[in-house]
Amino acid sequence: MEIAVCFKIVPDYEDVIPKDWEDMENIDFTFVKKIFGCYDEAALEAALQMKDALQKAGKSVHLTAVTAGEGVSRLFTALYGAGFDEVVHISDEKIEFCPEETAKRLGQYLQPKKPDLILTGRMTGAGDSGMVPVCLAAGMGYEWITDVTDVSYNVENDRLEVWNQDTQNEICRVLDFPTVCSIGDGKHPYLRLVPLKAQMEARKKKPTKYDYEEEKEYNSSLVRYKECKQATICHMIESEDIKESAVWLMNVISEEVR
Amino acid sequence: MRVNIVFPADVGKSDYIGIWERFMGLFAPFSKKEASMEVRTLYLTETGDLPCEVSAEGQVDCIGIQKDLSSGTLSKYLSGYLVEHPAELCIFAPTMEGKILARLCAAANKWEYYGEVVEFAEDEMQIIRKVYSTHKDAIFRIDAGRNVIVPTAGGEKQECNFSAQNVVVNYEKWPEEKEEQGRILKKIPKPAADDISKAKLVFIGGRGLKKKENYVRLKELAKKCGAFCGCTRPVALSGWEDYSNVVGISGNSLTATVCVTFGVSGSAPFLYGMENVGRLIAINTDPDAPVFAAAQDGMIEDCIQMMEEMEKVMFGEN
Repeated sequence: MEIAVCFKIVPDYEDVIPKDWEDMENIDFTFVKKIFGCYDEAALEAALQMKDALQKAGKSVHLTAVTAGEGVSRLFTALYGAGFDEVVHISDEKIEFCPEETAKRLGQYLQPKKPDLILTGRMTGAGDSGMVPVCLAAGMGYEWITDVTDVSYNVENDRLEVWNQDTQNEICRVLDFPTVCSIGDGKHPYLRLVPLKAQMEARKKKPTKYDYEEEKEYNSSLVRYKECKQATICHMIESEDIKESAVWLMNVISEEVR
Repeated sequence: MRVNIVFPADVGKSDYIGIWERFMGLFAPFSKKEASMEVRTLYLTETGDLPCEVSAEGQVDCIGIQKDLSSGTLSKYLSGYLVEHPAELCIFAPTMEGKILARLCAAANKWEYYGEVVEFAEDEMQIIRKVYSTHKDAIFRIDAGRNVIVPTAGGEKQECNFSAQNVVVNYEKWPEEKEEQGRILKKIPKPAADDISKAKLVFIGGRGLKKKENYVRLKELAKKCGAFCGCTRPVALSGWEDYSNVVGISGNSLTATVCVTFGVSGSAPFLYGMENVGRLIAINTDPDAPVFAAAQDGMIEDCIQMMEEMEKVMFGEN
């Protein structure tokens, strides 16, 4: 079985200092540590969990992790160490606010491989549109299901069993291959820890470079950034001393508990 | 300009009016310019009945859909409907199903999709949407063709007229089809209030607590106050708390009525998890901390001292 995971490497926004957000022309994330998109990380681990289960059932699995955009060798090494058979890096071009383009690049690599299952995170950041997996599925003619919490393979009927959530329920659905599953609040949100020996081995492996073949230019409809319109107006509690503030706060809490 | 408005079936019965008011707030720039708008409203419901009073002039379609129809199948019908009734703007109610259907329809038809839309810019056909939570919005050019838009749930609202006259409601039922692909095996209702995302009162500790002992103390205080206690991602990374209690984009989204943050700066990924909190009270020594931009009440105080004072109030020492 061929399983591919599409992921994005993003800056850790927790590390961006407040002053840097003030620049409306550009945001400099170069000094910020890079991490896997949080839902993508859950998708990567879900694929590894599935590989473990399939291998236990005597099935052969090939696991590929694919990213378009920024690449970070430390993270590629972590993927090889964790158990991915291949890590593919599609160009270094930074693609922002143009999900169709990202999906096209991923699709061009994945189409000839025809993976049985493609896993992605449901989105990569707070303001991300979450459109890449949908466009990828539409472009490849795959079904798409989102807010997935767990994926498993039913050996008896050769089908997928996918748990996802709506506002009120956890739902288990039967799906045919091929399918794109977008992982939301995954059962395993973090990539497994890799033993030192496996890490050393993984360092010898390099990601496969894939050059996108079509014209490189694309149009993003971004005009410019702007300051957020403050939706709420913060009422600052001014009191003579901290004791008075604590009494006020405890009153609010007591009312809520009542 | 032609506008299609879509209400998916997961809109709560009491939420229709609020969503309509949000839509009216979104259209305010067009109303100011007195631009003519041709509105068509589509209600998708499992009962097939009109779920709320008719609030817009124009055509209203009320479609009864099969219970548990998967989003994939439903979007195929919906795409057909939207192709049949072309409009420059297609606006979906900001619910979970609304966002999924909007994306599916946009991707299938190669229409532009804009989620988390705050408002329309007044000068040209541009929209403002959230890109980095409370840190930054961005202005995007709207395509001249067809655009699918999902607004933010919060934002500008305007009262709307719920006694529109001369509106014809068209009732229909979309054909039932037996779904094999996406067939439901099991359905389990989500448990009520057994985790932080459902709790009504939540305390959250951030790096401002300085050390693990203070976080443990906050947890104790929360317990005594009848609150759940959660943390920011850096706190979990420091090993002070289990990852299951992280609040933010990489953890839980809260629905608390009251949430109090202790020493939380308020990064964009964290505030993503706070969007559905009723009242956010922030305690931080830094008056410029981004958390105050999302809070209803703020205190510029040391969070550790505040905990001490709260303990004193609780044990009657003040």
